[in-house]
Amino acid sequence: MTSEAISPGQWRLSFSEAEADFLVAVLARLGKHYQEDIARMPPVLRAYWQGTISRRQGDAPNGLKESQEVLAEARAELRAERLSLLENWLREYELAEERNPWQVEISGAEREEFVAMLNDRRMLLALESGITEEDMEADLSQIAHEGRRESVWEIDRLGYFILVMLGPQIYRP
Amino acid sequence: MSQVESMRGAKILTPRRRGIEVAVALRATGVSSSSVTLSEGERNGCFTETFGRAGVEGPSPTNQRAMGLKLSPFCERPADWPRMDQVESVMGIPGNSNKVLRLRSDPAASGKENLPPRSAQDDGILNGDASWHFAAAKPGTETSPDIDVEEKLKEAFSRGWSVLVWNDPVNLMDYVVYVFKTVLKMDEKDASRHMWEVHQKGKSVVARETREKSELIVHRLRGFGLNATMEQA
Repeated sequence: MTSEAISPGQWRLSFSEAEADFLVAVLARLGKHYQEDIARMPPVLRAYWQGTISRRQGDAPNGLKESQEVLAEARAELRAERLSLLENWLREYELAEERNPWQVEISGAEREEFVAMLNDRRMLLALESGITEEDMEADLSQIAHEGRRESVWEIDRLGYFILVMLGPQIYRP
Repeated sequence: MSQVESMRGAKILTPRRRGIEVAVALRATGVSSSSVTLSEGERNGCFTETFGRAGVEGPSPTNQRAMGLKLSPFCERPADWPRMDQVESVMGIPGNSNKVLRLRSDPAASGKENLPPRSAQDDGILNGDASWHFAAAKPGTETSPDIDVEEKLKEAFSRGWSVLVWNDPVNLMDYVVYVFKTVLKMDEKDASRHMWEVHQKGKSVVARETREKSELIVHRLRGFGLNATMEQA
């Protein structure tokens, strides 16, 4: 995968055939997830999408209950917006004549959403599979449980895509 | 729109600004009712304001709703809604240009048939339409001269809320720095310092803001998948 700025606020992403296959499968699964009814999700995923406005007990009297509801509503809308973007990209892939490499040009705003969506998938996988800090730091071969191993593999892979798009961000004096 | 009007216990503000501040104060403090004195101009006029949110261009409907700052309680009312003087007439209040009205969110207490039925969307300024429900204060129950509007305004606009970001095992360090730079407009150095704090201490206070702005920051950070919450400082 490569990512290059082709003009101010415009980016070109390029994926090899294998990367594009993987990405399209991820986006398809994510799209399905965005359409799911939150009420039917497992509690961890439901909590992720509803969000938590405050961890401090006793903040409810300060009117944070209402804020919590607004947060949940905003996150529900976010899913719908992301689904719409995602469907556009899948449509572009369907219509692409050249898929090796598959190239897609996106705006700065779309790039921001794209990165956030890939991160959504990472977070959802981690929550579903109960991934811990130890899992993330372990060598893949050390993770005995197959499902968790596959999840960590996908999380790492998507992390790589994110890092390619963002480049180094941490301040290093 | 009328010019500067006074409000009990509050600073002198333009009607538009006042409408916003009262709305924010009520919203921020969770007060369900309060009293304000409205002038003729205000009762028939408009307060409309839209704020952008911190670090974000162009507020979306969600943002507007979240901020509760797009107020147009009179101008946007449906054509068949009664005017304020009609409402007052229904309620048996002699008209004058400067009376105490109670802003309320309790539909049961408003209880006047001629008022339009209240929908779920009417509840609160969060929905952006600020469908305030007015009922006249009964003699002797005029609560609120003592409600300290100024204090509420002060609270609403004070930076008394902290936004915290909590550690998690999945988000990449570079990604977290990127999000801090994008959402909070931090420079690379500050963003990295906060990221390390989250990583090493389990959490970091990344902003101290007004309640409204803190909410928006939490929304934005969560949109990027960071575990963000807010607390009253």
